[in-house]
Amino acid sequence: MTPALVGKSPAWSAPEAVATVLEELRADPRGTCLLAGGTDAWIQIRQNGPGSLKRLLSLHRVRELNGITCTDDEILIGATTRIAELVSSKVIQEHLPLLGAAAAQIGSVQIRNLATIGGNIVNAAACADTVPPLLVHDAELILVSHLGRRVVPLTGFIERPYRTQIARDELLTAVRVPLPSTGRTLTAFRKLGRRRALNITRISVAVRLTIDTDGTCRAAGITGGSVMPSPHRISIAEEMLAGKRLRPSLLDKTAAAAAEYVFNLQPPRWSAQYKQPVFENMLRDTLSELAALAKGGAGE
Amino acid sequence: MSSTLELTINGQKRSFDCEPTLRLIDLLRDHCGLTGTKEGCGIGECGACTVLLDGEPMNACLVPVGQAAGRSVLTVEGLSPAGELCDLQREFIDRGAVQCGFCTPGMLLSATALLLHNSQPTEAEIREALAGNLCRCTGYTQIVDAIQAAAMARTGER
Repeated sequence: MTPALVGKSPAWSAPEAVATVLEELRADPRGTCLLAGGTDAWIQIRQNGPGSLKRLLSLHRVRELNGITCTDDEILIGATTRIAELVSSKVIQEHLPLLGAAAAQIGSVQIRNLATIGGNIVNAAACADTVPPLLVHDAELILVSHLGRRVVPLTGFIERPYRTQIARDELLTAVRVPLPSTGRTLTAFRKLGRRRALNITRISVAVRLTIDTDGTCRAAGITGGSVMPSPHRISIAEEMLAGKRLRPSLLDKTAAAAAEYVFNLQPPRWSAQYKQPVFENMLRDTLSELAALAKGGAGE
Repeated sequence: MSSTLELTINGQKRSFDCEPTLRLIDLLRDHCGLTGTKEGCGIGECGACTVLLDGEPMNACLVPVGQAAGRSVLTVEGLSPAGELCDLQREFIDRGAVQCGFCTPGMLLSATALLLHNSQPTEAEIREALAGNLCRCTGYTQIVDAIQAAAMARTGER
């Protein structure tokens, strides 16, 4: 028989109920690895060898973790909802097109059919493309364990690449996104990588503007992807736009301030000389595009 | 920790006594002798191992058999009855879309999945559907042409 992994294979379980998952996590929080789509985690496990990994707990049979539901004031996205489902979902297309646009650019058809939104967030790669859109939409994460349930904001949840605030005995069950408030909402996602297919994001920007009837910007949500160790909103730039008319000079200053802020978050890296002006240009272009839409009256 | 897992492979229900952590590609190649499915990168980037799981293309190198249990797998061997070629395979040959052939099974399955839900894809849609399948020989043009030709023949436009 072909060995499944080099060395001793970990035990395998695939429960159907969240309660069983939590019980297994409680029994052995350190030796249990949760597996969703596995497009990142499975490769890491295979490359590292089974090591201390005693048990792989596959979530693919837990139905209550999968699916998108929409109520009057929020959208709930189950943790094992696949990226392909985000792309094809009518609810996402109508209420969160920004997330749909980012999801459509992840990996390939094959990867999107396997990868999940929960895996994208908890794996916490810097290039996780669902994170910037969710940040500008004030997303929250629902985490449960045998001790109970807590709801945490996505901002700050990822402490640094591949490190989050989730406890070893906790399970991410769903992502909660408040429905956009009244007023016109304009959004855009831009991503830059080294190639077009299977493009790992080097830099991305996600922007959400709420526009008043007189054309002023009531509120802004701005963030970048792959450029911040702990993804969060760039409030210094958001505040510059709040309550203002979106004139080109203001957009220039806002993009410059955002880039300055982002690239001062960590010690300069060799790539910063390239990335900072590129990030600034991408953000200015995105803001200009949305400002033109705001003026033209064409919205989502 | 071996267990008995049931899968439908190319229309046949089969059961296997194997590790759930075995990769689907290893099950297909080593346990079933279905060597048409190729392993290129082993990390889900090249698409040579593309198979259809319940009609959707996925990388067989990324799927543990435990997650494929109870589902239906289609490989290149299942595209047509033994000894015959399906229309896509015929068009690939006629239009020079096969050179070394290593990417071809994955290309055929991505194309099959595309045509299942989009009978008249545009060139852009074909290229998007093939974005997860790398070919280092053809430059893709002949492959796109072959798929377009098969689609047109199926809808009777040629």
